[in-house]
Amino acid sequence: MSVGDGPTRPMVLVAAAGTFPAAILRELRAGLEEEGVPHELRPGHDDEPDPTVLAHRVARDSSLEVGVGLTERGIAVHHAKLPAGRPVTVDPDVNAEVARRMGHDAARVVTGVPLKLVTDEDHAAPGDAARRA
Amino acid sequence: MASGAPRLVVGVDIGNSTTEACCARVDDDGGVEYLGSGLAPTTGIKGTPDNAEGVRKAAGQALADGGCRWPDVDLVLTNEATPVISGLAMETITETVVTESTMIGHDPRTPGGSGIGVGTTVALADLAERAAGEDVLVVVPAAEDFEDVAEALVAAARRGVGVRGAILGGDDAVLVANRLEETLPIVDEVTLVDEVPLGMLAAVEVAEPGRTIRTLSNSYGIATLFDLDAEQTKMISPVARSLTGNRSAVVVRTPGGDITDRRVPAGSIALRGRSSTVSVEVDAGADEIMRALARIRPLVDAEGESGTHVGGMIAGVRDAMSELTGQRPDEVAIEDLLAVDTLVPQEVRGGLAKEVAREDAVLLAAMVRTSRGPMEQVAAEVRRVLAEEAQRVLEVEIGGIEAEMAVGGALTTPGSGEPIVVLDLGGGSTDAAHADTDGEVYSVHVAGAGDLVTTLIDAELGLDDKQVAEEIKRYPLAKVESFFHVRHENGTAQFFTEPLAPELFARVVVLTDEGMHAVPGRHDLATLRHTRREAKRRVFVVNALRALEQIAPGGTLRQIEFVVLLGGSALDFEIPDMIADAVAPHGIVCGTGNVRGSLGPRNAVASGLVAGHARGRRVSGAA
Repeated sequence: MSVGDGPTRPMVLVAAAGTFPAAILRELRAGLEEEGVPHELRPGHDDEPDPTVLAHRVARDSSLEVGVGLTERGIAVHHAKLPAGRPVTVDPDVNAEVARRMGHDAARVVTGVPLKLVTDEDHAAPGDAARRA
Repeated sequence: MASGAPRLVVGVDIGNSTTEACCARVDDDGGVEYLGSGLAPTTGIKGTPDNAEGVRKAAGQALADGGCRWPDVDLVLTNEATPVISGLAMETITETVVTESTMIGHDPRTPGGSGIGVGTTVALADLAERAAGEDVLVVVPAAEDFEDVAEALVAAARRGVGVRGAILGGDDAVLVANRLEETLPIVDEVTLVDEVPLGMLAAVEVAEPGRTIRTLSNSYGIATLFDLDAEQTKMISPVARSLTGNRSAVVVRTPGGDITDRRVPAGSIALRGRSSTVSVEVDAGADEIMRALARIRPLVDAEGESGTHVGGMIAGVRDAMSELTGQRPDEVAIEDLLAVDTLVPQEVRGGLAKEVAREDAVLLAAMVRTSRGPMEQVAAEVRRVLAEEAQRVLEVEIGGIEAEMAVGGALTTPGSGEPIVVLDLGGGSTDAAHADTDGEVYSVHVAGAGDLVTTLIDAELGLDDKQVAEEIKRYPLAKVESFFHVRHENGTAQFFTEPLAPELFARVVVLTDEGMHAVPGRHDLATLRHTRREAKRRVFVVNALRALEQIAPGGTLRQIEFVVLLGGSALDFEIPDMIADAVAPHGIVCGTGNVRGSLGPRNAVASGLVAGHARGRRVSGAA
């Protein structure tokens, strides 16, 4: 909750259930930062073990409609308008590399850049997002 | 000739890639009732006995379509199948060789900071040893952590070292830039960062978002930074040229001016006409080659200068043709050529991030008319195969000149009339046939058609994937703008209730019959569309005009009234419009044929065979 922050700032919301090595969260946030998209951590979701469910929950709270869920069962990126069980991407591995990629993809859903997904190809064309009318 | 009951006649057109058939009832006074049509891939090379299987299939389809049976067939007519085979070759005609590791010009999606920095390249590990007052560019391996890198840069700057920029292996430029105390240009995702020469004077430039670099893409900009004289500036200019349009770049000055621009001799091509031979330098470009060709037309053969690029190209085409036709390479005569200027991406030697520069190239399509195929053998094999179907011997006739038949079929298009030109847009060649008002038919084949378009798209986009190129050629493009909608290339949006696959998100896609396929690579929609349309224009519009000029009475397009487009590429979603636009100023009615008012550009020759036969009956009946 952004208390006293005035109107909701555009943010990707990141929800983590339980505790994780600092490196995981750091890489996730680095991915978002490298893409230049602001984000905010939402702690206190320890009740939800499924990363996809968690990601969808915070995506619906996000003004950018994008959420990331991080639990010991994996990491997921979700969009508020996608059906609950159909995340943008989900990976059961919780490691630094996956976390970084998830950070990039969460940001790219916002900026409209082709996703990294599992195959780490750089398909993105510069100025892609600028095409939107 | 038997009279009385109408006869069941099957017309078969064996084409280079498809075999088309139709069946019809022809009565004694020449009346024709078409019953059905069929289409199958041509089996074997056109004009060889292998074609019989394709004939069996296509004709079988036509009969089934018309509700007829093999035993009831009275006559099978096939075209005189002279194979027209085409070959393609492409060669870059200039080659820029950038020796040593001298430049990095690429577009990481997210470079950091902005501005231009000049200094000596130094490894991150050695940064602590640099003295205050020294200007440096820091070279950072991919494995380094962004926070450590930022700390090291900040520490060095505080000591008074002039940190002017950084070159990173990983995708960390924004992360590092965000942790510095001043704005520095940082280039990242440099694949071969370990090969950046150290201890050399270098420059890093990063443009603001939405801008392109101004200094390193300008020869005099580089000359100013590195204090180059006129001779050195001349040598660095290819580097500046290949950096044009990038958002970020690095140029490292390696001692001794290791940059050279070398032109590989493209060679000349000798075009032999009936009475004279003209020689053209290939690097004069496609236009010059085509002008020379127009001067000596009709072409008897073409030779490339041996030991040069073009020599290899022509020899390659000749070998491929000889393999296909079984003729000796020296018997293969090239009857037409289409040269197309193109720019193809070439990996820059000495580049460190898989940079590509677009190099001039000439693409040549050559066409060979082989000696007339053993048609009697083909007919015999067709007879044998069809006898199996009909359980008796069928009458199989070779039914006249293909061009004449095509005109006959095209004239069944509602609204068409004479004088008419039929343009058959095939895979290998573009063929034109002209019927004047006396019914006299002339024909011409020019090199280059659908296959050449695919090759151009493949080469210019650097796809190296014929299937992807074929899809780009055949289907419209769209950009996936959200999980629920796409924007078509004409600007209209389409919404989907089912979410689109994440793999397609923000990608340019081709809208194939089986759904959306993402186009690989980083090309934007506008570039893809332009490349596709230009490829079609340079092949089909150029060839349509070339063929019409050769076939029009007195070479005057105004003498033609109707042009009917036939063949597979006449089904393309934009080629017919492009040709129609190009010939409209000459007062020509041009459009895709609609054979028998219902078959579109298909089945013209097969239908024409039957029509020709019916006319023959009417004439003989009247006599």
